[in-house]
Amino acid sequence: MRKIALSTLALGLLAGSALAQNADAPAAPAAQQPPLATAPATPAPTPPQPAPVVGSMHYSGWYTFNGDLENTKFSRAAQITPDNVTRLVKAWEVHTGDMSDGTGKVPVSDWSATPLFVNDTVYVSTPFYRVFAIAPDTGKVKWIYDTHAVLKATTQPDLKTRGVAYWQSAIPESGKACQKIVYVGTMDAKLHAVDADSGKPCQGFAKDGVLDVNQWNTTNAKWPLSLLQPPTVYKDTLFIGWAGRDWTDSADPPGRVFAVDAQTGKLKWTFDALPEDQNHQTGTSNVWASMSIDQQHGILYLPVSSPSPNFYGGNRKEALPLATSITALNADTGKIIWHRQIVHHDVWDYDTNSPPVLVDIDKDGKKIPALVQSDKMGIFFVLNRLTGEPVYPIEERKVPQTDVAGEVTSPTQPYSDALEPTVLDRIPGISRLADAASFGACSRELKNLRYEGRYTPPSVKGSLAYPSTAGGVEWGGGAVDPEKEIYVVNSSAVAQIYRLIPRAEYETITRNGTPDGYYAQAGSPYGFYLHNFVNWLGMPCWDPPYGTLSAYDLKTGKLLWRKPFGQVQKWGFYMPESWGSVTIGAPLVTKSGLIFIGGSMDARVRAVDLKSGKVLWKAQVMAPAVANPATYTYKGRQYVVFVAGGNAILKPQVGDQIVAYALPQGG
Amino acid sequence: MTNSDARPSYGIWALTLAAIAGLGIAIYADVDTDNGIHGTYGLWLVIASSALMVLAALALTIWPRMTRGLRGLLIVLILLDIAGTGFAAYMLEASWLVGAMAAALLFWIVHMVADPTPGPRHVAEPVRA
Repeated sequence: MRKIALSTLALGLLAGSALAQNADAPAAPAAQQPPLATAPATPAPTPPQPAPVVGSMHYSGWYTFNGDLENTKFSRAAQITPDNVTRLVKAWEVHTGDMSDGTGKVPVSDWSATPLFVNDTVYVSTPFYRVFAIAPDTGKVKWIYDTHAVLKATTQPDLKTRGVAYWQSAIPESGKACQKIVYVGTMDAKLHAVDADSGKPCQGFAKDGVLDVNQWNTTNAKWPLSLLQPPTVYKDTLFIGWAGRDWTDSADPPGRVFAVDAQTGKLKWTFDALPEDQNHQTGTSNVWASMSIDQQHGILYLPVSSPSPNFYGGNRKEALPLATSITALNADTGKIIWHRQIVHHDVWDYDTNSPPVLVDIDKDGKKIPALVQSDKMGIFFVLNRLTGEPVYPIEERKVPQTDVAGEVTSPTQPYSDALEPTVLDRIPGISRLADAASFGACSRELKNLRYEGRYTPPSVKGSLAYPSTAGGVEWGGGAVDPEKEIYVVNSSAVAQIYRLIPRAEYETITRNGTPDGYYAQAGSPYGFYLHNFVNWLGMPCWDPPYGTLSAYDLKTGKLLWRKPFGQVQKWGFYMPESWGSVTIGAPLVTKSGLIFIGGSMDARVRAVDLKSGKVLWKAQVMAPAVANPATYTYKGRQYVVFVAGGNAILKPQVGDQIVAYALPQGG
Repeated sequence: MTNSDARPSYGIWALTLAAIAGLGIAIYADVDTDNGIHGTYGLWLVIASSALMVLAALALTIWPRMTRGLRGLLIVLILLDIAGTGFAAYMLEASWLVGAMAAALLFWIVHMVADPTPGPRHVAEPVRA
């Protein structure tokens, strides 16, 4: 969980902006007896349909944060193809006005909201916690709901939202309001329920349409539970996770997931990832990313983040088997079905940061109900989603051990290379350009750091982390074509420096305020300093590429292609395409063989050929489109929608643009 | 003394126009908010460098009394300006500006090769009684 503010990164070649790291919150979106909007390739709006079921998924609308509950980010829409994608034009755009560059009283905005298309409407929330309901063909705003949330960065360094969730009654009562509900969370833990047709609060939900989730924040309640990720909606239940801060204290609010009634907000069950007897020394291990659901088997998959404090585990040496794990729950009861830890005794902040992609894989003559779990390490775990057992081998690999007094690191870590990791086991080399520009400072700094490859633990001396907490694969995760069984994922390769600072020294450094990159980890013997491995100009000290897009054949695990993706941009100058860009936000895949993705630092959105990885189309948008895109078909026309809002991790550029592209009308 | 060659200086005039076109393109790019480079330091840099190029080219065009040394210096600086602005435009992926700089380079060559060599402007001889 968590989110951190790093230092620069970004890779802005000469960059220097502050990086923020990420962490966030909760749960995800929706389906219930859902809606699903319109039909696939060409059709017109359809009436509500039963929930899609694995094996016969509809893949038509975009009714959850990840397109569907299985987190496929796949659409059967096929009007836009590799042959005609170059003809895309802007169909409509909306500017919400809700953005801040942080120079005034309002914190900087970070807009990662996936637009939902459901109920013949596009729904998007803004970083100022307003909900826009938009006509899917014209961009005309139908209504706006304002939560009137206080615009303060209480747990995160910036104002952010990942969007809304949607629920629809299986048996709607005609003439009655709130048979279809849109949910939006705020940074101060308020979950608002709004009638999807009128934009009016649903009075029957909690108190006057607002559920104060912070009422359940009763242990180590040092900060409110931020609802930045929309809930996951399944049947008549909302699954709510949250974001917070896990770098300021050791004992934080323990990771807890809440299941509440979709209509009333009444608590059904809770799930705790940490044993109660550990609450005095640790916390978090929460679910700040979205979740996925196997609807056929009623299984809820939780990406559980790391425990607090992020970078020192000497206070929490006990086994915490659900920390940094994939955990499968019975969606009706919250009981654990299985769990698999992907990082033991996490001291790198390698949160499980995205839900698994659920897909059936044809392997060895059998159809296997599988999941693909991505992570910040750029490693992929392919498991049987019913049992948690590996579909492709996972080994326990010996890893470097800590030299920090009081710390005990795990002798091994899980590792799988059946799907070639997106981040190398060792840093690719020192950038000659950055090294020359710094008169050898990059090389000298590396020599002074502890670095023994993957899982080099934090140290007082300073350790190089590659991959680092910045990823690898971020919260968007991957996408899959479940028919071709091809998995697509964008990934970043970022080197950072982790330094533990003895408490007395930390107190001295922060006596007059906490400089950027310093984290207290109060209650532990060490503060922490985290910064990107860059030279004085902000140039990355390691060799590119800094970001890639990859496609795998899940039937064999074979890497089909990997290409540098996006471009670094600094002061307006674009760096070579071969460098790629750090990316945030996921791709989507269409049946016609296209990948749509924003995410890159250059604030462009692209269509990529699924077969070859070649970029076929790109367009400039207002700011980096760090939200997952969505696609849908309405009245016979396919639209692809991007939210361009920016994220300070990439560069200090913000936007308020929602933009839809489509083929020209009339051919 | 009079100018030794009365042919028109097409090269320097065309170079001036190319520089003006480059400046116009760069300014327009800063007005167009949808191009990905508007409002960036890089774009402001090429606006400034294009403006300097226009001034230098105009000086060569309309100030024939310029000394040979100053003229030579300006010609060299214009070449460097063309190269720098062109490279910056390439990095900005501003293709129209790259085109304008390519044209400016062409006309700079034309100026060097085909334009008449300007001499000091002719000065009235004192009348002797």
